[in-house]
Amino acid sequence: MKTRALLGLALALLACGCAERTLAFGDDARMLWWTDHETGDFSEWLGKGGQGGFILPGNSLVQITQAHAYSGTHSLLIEDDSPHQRDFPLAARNGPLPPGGAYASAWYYLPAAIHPTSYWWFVLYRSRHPPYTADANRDEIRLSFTTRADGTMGSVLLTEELGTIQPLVDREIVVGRWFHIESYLHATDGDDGEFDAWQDGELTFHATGKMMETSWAEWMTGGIADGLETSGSQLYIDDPAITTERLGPLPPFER
Amino acid sequence: MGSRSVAKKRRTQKVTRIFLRRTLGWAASLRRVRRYASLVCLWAFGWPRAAVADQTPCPHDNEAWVQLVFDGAAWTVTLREAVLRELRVELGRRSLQVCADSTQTATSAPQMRVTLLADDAQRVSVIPANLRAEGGFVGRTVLVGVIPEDARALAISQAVDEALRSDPTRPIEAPSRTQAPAPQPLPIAKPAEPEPHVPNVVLGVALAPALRIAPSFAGATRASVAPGMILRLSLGSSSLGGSLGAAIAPASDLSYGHAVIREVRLPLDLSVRWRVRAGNFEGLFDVGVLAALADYERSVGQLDYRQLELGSRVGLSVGWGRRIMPWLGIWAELLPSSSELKLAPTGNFGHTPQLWLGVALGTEVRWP
Repeated sequence: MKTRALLGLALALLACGCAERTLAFGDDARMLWWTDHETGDFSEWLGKGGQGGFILPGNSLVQITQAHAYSGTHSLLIEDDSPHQRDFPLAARNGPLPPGGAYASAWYYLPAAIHPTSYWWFVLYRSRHPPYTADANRDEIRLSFTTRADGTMGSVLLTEELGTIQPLVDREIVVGRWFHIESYLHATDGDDGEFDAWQDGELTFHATGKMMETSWAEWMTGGIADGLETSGSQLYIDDPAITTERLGPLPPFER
Repeated sequence: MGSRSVAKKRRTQKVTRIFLRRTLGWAASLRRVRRYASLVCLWAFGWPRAAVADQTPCPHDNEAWVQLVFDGAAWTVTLREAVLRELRVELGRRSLQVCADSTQTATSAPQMRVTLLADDAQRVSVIPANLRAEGGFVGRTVLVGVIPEDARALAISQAVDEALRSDPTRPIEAPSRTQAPAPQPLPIAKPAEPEPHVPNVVLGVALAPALRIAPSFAGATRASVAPGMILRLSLGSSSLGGSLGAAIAPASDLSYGHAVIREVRLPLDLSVRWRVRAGNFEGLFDVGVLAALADYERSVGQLDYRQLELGSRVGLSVGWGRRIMPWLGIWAELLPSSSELKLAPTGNFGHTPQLWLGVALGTEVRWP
């Protein structure tokens, strides 16, 4: 009896001491906001943080879906159902972004190539100005899908202050594969502003100078397009985050 | 002089001649002149006296004399006679007679009585006066086991001579007729001192300030260094024992770049201890099992985890002293596994350390 008890105690101690445990310490302090859509709704877009956010479906579709996901089982689906007119299905976080600069990132997935008439902004920074009503804003910096010379998809940077900026590296946006876009914005209304964008960890755009009409900036992602030349109209988005440090293309988010 | 004494004298002279012949033959075979010369001297001065001494009353002519008593079971007739012979040569230089037969009627009291005790063949104790009967022993012991048989008698006689010279109660020396040679150093053991009692089990308590270092662990941006104190109890014999150690340290930071985890760690180990001693120098080697109560807390958060970690410990210490021993020790604590550390949503950012190194400088006190 004693032997069994001692053996049990030894095994229990061994289990305590040798088994690898996982110690979870809450949220990463670098994350200002993030969601993996595993709640199955927009609650983390609209809440989770004092600033909140908003969803604009326009005349199209913005929804949480399980069709594709980078992490877990859910992601955000943007679908442009108005190929012959301008539409703006998107999800956004309220501003202002931290004045010292902030990073915004997300994973994207295109099941089919999108060829807009002239633009499909999938990353958009908007400024707001007094009196800070819903209409008191300006679309400042946009990353847009474009069609490259060989017919594949690429991207271009459009700004109100600096005009169109060609990529440092003209990377293809591959259809049918998750790709990561991370951007940095130091939003000032002076000449010390800065914008950078990385695709799958590689710096593709870099711009400095006056970036915004005001320093009040907010980040949105989705699909603001003037029209579509093909039938492809879906964009999946997962693991979006606003952070104080550059994360790079991380593995799928974990709760 | 009767016919019996004449016959005895003739027999003695015959024995002397035979011995002389043999001795000269042996001496001639020697290569070294010095040894040959000494043997000739031995014969020339010692043997005739010894041969004659057996034939004369002892002591005679009222000369000063020393009484020699052979005691113990290890004496052989040959060795006893050889010792008497040699001693008569030695003391004869100081005009002292040596008499071994206590039953002989002496006309004067002996200047000194020396007992030679040989309970075994390895050693002979030289006990001046009659102190053995009084319970004390202030003489000396000759380790004859290491001396060639043919030199033992000379060694014993020289030891007796030395004992007589060094003893304050020795007889006053008469003026020497010849210059006595300087006494040769002998393998004489010091008077036996009572051996210190060596306890079977010694209890030790060691206390030391220490420095614990986790040099490298998954995800770490720098080593973790934590000061502390260690307490170690040891119990064991002169070479093998056990020790129980504990460490107390304030919280230390495990740095992982964008996350810092505060750790409080209380290790307790039970070790087998090997001890090697050379004079006052001592080396200690510990190896054992370790259980550590570890508390991990995010420095900026409220989440903390407390867990028991099992592993092994090896330690090496060197010290100087016996009852109070300053020592310097180093050790390593090895854990077979570590815990994964996670943050949401970025996931794994590191692991808890699996290797701790330590160094301590302290003092150990031992009983008895």
